[in-house]
Amino acid sequence: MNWVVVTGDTGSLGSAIIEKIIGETSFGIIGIGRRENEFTDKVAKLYPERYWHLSFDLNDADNIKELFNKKIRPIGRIYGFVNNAANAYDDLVTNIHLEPLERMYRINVFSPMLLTKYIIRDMLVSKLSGSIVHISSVSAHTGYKGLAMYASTKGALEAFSKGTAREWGSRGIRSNVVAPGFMETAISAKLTDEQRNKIYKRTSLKKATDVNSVAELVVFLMTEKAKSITGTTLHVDNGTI
Amino acid sequence: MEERLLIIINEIRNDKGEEHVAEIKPELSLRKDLGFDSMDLATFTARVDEEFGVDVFETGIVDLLSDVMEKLG
Repeated sequence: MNWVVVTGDTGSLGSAIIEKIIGETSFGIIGIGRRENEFTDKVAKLYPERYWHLSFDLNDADNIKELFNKKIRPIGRIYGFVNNAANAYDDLVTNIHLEPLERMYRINVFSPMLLTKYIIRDMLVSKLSGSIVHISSVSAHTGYKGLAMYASTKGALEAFSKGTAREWGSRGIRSNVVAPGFMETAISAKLTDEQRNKIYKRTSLKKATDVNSVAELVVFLMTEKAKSITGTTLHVDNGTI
Repeated sequence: MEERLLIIINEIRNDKGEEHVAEIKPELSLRKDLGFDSMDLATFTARVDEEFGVDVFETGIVDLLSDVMEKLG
């Protein structure tokens, strides 16, 4: 069985992605999150052969190599990577503090880059033409007050994905980005109703982006059905203008 | 060690449609003599790491097979 690594497996988008991978593909899933929760326990019980949760804090970028070699690699061959975990440090640019900024970059950018390194190496060894999907954000494309730093981490991932696609396309390895609009998730929970409504008014459909619609596209990009799609960013944002 | 390295090298050359090399000579250059480009070197690194548990390029550029063998101990 080939495996897909999904970070942030306890969040609402992560869990929707996992449910769809289980239901619509034959991949196994290695979920990475800071801790187990009801969802991870439930899936692990229902699908003991196809789902492993690994507790790991992606802030610990120094130990990604050990995580990969000692815990991920022994499970099986890696076909895919869904970089879904994220940390949001929201503030005005004039209030930036280095410590939370560095933490956010370790979680959102450095650890996913290092995971990509080891996952592509594994694909080279196994000669698997795998698929990588990074979850970005509409905020990287449309400015929002207070989200400049967060959006910058997503912009970094988008550029990284494009470079990865170009670099490894000759080996059949694909890399894409899904940029969701504002969803009802933990990341946007800190917003007030007023802020939320203001954001939704900027979309064509005037509402929150549906988590399942985002997850559906991520799973599509994971599969052979998307074999001609690489190096691009796909927007699932209710038509943000 | 030399036999395992030879297998890895010839697998990579085989994938590129190039002839197998008959034996490991320490003075061979991965780039000039074996014709490895940067992508081949990445594959070589990943396969050597898988086989020996050593990342030969982690601490700098390596070119001669003798350098690789030294790192593998």
